[in-house]
Formats: sequence, structure tokens, C-alpha cells
Amino acid sequence: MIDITKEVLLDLRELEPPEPFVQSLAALERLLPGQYLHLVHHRAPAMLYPELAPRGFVSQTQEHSSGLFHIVVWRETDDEAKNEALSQLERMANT
Amino acid sequence: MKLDGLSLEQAPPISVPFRFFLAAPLLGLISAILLVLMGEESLMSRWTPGMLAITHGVVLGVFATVMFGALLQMLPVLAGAVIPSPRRLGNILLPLWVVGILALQCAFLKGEGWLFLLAVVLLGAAVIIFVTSCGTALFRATSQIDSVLGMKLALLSLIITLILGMMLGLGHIGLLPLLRPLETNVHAMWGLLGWIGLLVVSVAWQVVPMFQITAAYPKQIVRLLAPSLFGLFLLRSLLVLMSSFFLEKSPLLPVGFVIVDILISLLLVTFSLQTLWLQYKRKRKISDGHIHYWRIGCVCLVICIFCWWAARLIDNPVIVEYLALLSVVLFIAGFVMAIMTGMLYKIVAFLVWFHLQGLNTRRMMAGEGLIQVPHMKAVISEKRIILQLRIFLLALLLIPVLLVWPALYWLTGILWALHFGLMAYHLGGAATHYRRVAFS
Repeated sequence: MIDITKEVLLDLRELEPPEPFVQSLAALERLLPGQYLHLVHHRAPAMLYPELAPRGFVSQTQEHSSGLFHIVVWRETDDEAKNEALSQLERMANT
Repeated sequence: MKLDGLSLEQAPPISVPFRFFLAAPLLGLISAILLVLMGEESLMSRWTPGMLAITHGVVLGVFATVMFGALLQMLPVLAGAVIPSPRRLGNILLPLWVVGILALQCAFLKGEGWLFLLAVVLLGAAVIIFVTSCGTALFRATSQIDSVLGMKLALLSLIITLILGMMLGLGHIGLLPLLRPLETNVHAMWGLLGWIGLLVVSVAWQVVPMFQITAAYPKQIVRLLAPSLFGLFLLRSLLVLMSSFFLEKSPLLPVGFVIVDILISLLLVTFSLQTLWLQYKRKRKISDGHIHYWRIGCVCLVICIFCWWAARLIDNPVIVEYLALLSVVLFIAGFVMAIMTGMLYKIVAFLVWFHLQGLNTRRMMAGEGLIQVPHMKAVISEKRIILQLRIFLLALLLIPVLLVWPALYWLTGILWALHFGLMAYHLGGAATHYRRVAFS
């Protein structure tokens, strides 16, 4: 089961550029300890990736056969968020 | 992997695409003023000096100039095709290109040999430099997005257009035979349908789903459309060559032309209708100027093809001449102008935001204070884009009337001058906005 208090889900599919980028960065700034950001999009957010490391975030991307991309992002120092994010990706891969 | 468009690290400086985007409306303005000054005599046929100067001013001065700037910006970041020293390339390319266009316009108007020679040399040098730089980058491209093949074919079409154009230029001064209208028709086909058409189509695969939030184009269309069109253009050129030199009386040639032309028309109509369908089916129902421009452009392409076929099927020579001219004008002033204007506003606003965002990231990493990055809609306001759209529509709707009633040349010229003047004002405003925020 997904712990909804740990996941911040952001569906970027209906947003026009640069909103996916702007909203993702805003959501990252609001992340609480233990929380991770889960992005859903039609493509991999190439612009966002180089912005993560300087802000202390790490990400992992999974492309589904449906063409959807699931991206999880967590604070580099937050092991609890990392574990939650990676197990969420694992669950997505098995569905 | 499908990437979300642009990567900051590979982007050329904003001044590189911007100098091309700012030059384009000014060159368009010259063509609109020419229309007012030359009067209705310039509209009597496609061969008048005025008509040739105006057409080349728009097609080279506006369309190709915007396309040069857009490709220099888009190739590195969209296709991973890195162009070395983009600033230096822009510094060399733009003066050669602009002076070459002005020389060509003067050559048509004055008919002097040295001006044709100057235009051939300058435009030839500019295109060779541009195609060599972009072509090399594209063949080394790391990303294999669907648009890359179409872009390569568009560049090949540009080279073919250039070669034919240089031959025509030398034909004007008697150094080569001037094979009009056959050579001119093939030159126009490669320039309008090959270079411009294939590039618009290839860019659409990325821009329409991304900025209009539609579903993606069907995979078969994306894979097959550009190479099929390119193959058909080659076949048509071969048929023209055969009809003029080898098999003048063969009864099979007219059939060959009809089959090739039906296929080209079907592919272009498929592109238009598919784009309109994607827009119609989009979940987000909020429309903006960019979408309206695309919609007008696609509708114009369908009407243009209808007029082209009607001109071939009707017997009355006066109506045939009218429909044939209307078809070409609808392609240039309707389809391409609408889509290019819409895309230009979207791309320029996005680039301002994109480069300011990049500046903020660099400031953050250097521990400096951040700047306030404006919203895209604040760079060029939607109200202004809609105002421009109305003027453009008026200028466009006047064209069918103008071709019947050439005395309206002054009103059409003024409306197009207003269109390009507003475009220059809006784009100049966007550049100023960038400078103001970046250096605040």
C-alpha cells in the first residue's frame, strides 16, 4: 500500500511548458522530511534533471509500456523518503 | 527516450536566435512597403519584377530567416545536435543573408546583372554555411527524436532550392538558359513544399503535442510523412526533367504527374486534418493565439490544395489563373505565415523564460541573489497576440479580393505592414523584457 502522507503526486500531463518545470520545483520546495515527489508525464522532464543536484535532490525515472513516465524525486539526505520512493517505483513496475 | 524539449546546458546564447527573429519582421516590412510603392502593376502576373521581389522578400526574408534562427536554437537542445560556436556562426550568417536578400530584391526590380551575381554569391555562401553547420550537427545528433529525419530532408531540400535558384539567377543575366516556367516551378516546389513544408511538419511532431497539450500524432504519420513527401518531390522533379528533355510526347507522363500530385495532396491534407483533429480532441479547452494561428494555417493549407486542383480541372483560363495564384498565396500568406507567426510568439516567450531560468540556476549555484523570472504570458501579452491575429486575418481575407481587384493593393500593403510592424514591436519588446530582467 502507498503511504499517502509520504507521496506528493503531481500529474503534469495537461500542463503547458514551462508549467511542469515550475510546479515541480515549487512542489520540491514544499516537501516535508520523509516525503518524496512523484511526477507523472508524457515525457522525461529533461529540463528538471540538471536543476535537482544543485538543490540537493536525487531522482529516478521509469518509462512504462503505455508511454507514461513516472519520476520520483527525494532529498539526497532523506533515506526514509528514498526508500518510500524506490518501493513506489517497484510497485509501479509490477502493475 | 522522449525528452521534455529543452536542455539548458546545450542552449546557444539567446542573442543568436533573437537576432534572426528580429530581422525577419523588418524584412517583411520592406516587402509590404514594396507592395504599396509598386502598385497594382506588380500584381498582374507572377513574373513581374515587383511580385518576384515581394515573394522572395517574404519567403527568404521572413520565413527562412525565422527558420534559421529557430533551427540554431532548437537543434542543440531538441535533437542533441550541438552546433560549434553558434554566436560566431550567427555573426557571419545574418549579414550575408540579409544583404543577399536585399541584393536579390534590387536585382529583380532593377534587372542589373551585377546585383543578381551579388545575390547568388551572398545567398549561396549563407545557405552553404548554414546547411554545413546544421547538417554536420544533425548527422552527429545524439537524440533520435522523430523530427530529426524530417529536418535533414528539409535541409537537403534547401540545397536543391538554392542550386535551382542560383541557376535561375544566372539565367536572368544570360550566363545560363532561363528555363521558365519549368525550372521556376521545380525551384518553388523544393523551396515551399520541401524546405518550408518539411520543416513545419517535422517541428509539428514536437510543438503541437507539447504546447497545445494534444495527444501525439499517430506513429505511422510521424515516420512516413516527411520521407514520403521528399520521395514524391524527387519523383515529380524527375517527371519535369523527362517532360522537358526526353519524352515530351509520352502519354504516360500526364498520368504520372496526376498520380504524384494526388499523393502529395493527400499527404498534405492528412497532416492538416490530423492536426485539426488533435486540437479538436484535446482535453484542455482553453485556446490561445498560438492555437488559433495553427488552426488558420491548417485550414488555409486544405483550401490551397483545393484551389490547386480546381485550377487544373476548370477550363476557363481567367479562373484558372486566379485559382493558381490564390493557391500559392494561400500557402505562403495563409498556411506558412499563420503557423510561423503563432510559433514565433510561443517560442520567443518561452526562450525569454528559459534563458532567465538558466540565469537563476547559475546565480543560485554561485550563491548570488535570484531574479524574478516572469510568466511567459507577461513576455508578450495574449491581448497583443490576439490584436495581431485580427490584423493578420483581415490582411489574409483581403487577398482573394485583391487578386480580382488589384486597386486594393495599398490597403493590403498597409495591413501587411501593420502585421510586420506589430510583430517587430512585440519581438523587440520581448528582447527588451529579457535584458531588463537579466540585468536587474
